[in-house]
Amino acid sequence: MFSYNKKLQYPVKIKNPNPNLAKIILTQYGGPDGELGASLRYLSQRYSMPFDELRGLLTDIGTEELGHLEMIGAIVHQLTRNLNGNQMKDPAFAPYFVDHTAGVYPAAAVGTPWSAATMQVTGDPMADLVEDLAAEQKARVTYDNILRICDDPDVNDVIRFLREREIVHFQRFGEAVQLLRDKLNQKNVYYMNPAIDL
Amino acid sequence: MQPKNKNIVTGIGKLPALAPLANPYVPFQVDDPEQYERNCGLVRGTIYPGLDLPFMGMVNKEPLPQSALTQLQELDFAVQELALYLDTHRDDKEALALYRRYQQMYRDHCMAYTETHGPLNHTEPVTSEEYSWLNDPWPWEYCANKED
Repeated sequence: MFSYNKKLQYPVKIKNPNPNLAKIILTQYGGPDGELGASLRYLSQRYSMPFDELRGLLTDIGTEELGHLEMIGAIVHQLTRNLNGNQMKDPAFAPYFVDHTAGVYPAAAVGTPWSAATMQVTGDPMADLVEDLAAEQKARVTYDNILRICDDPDVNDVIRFLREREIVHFQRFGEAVQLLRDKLNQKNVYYMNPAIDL
Repeated sequence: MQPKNKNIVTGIGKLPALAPLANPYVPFQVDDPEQYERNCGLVRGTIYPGLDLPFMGMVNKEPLPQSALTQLQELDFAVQELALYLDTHRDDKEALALYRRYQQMYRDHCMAYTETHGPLNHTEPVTSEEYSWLNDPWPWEYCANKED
């Protein structure tokens, strides 16, 4: 089961509200390569994953991603506090405001609501782990792009932490592929699906 | 912010002599890898210099302002980082010993933190006579990360 710990993984303290920036950061909450998709992808893939190391890794990284989801939510929340009339009417933020006020809604930067179509659970360990490697790279690029366009040091401090986590997770998923491969047919790793044929 | 041993070659891993075709290969991180000091790990996003690969040289240089909360976050982070490492390196005894040491430090800090700041979760025993779960600011609030 999951139980909530009343603290963030890394401190989030954003001095200056900036709703337009909030709309950009929101993509890591509910966008195609965001933290919600990451956590659901890993926590869903673990059921069909053979071998304890792989189950453990998906559980631990999936749980950490839920903590990252909360940190992104905290950034968006703090960037949209104390809104004034001009900020609400700003053409870049008004469409979000009219639907969600200062709430945190899982959507991409362009407004598309979060969708399970952005992730996959194939039930094949190799295919799922290779998807996870790609997912970490896509999230890393999204953070790179945020660092390029965001000039708020309080936000970037947190984004740099989250970006580095993607790199560490990529390394661990890469090692997981090796652990999996060691347990498969050494002449043909694609001989069968170890989730159902072992 | 430098590794303890400045001569260490970071980024080293190990590859087998023959890698199979048509399958991705990420080198294994070597056992007992070089680590940052505890207060440096959290701000860099990893305790391993070999995995610390910042974008365009943009790095968090300053350690976090020290508070009861950030100390707890540093210890929690060290435990998490070592847990992910141990998931794929379950036989690394040095890492396991370090993991246990950080777990103990986390438990000690946690008790001290809960005394003054209220419970972190519902199962931690609290001494307060009142229902203190609702008292403190929630973690996502601006005022929740005050330096005290």
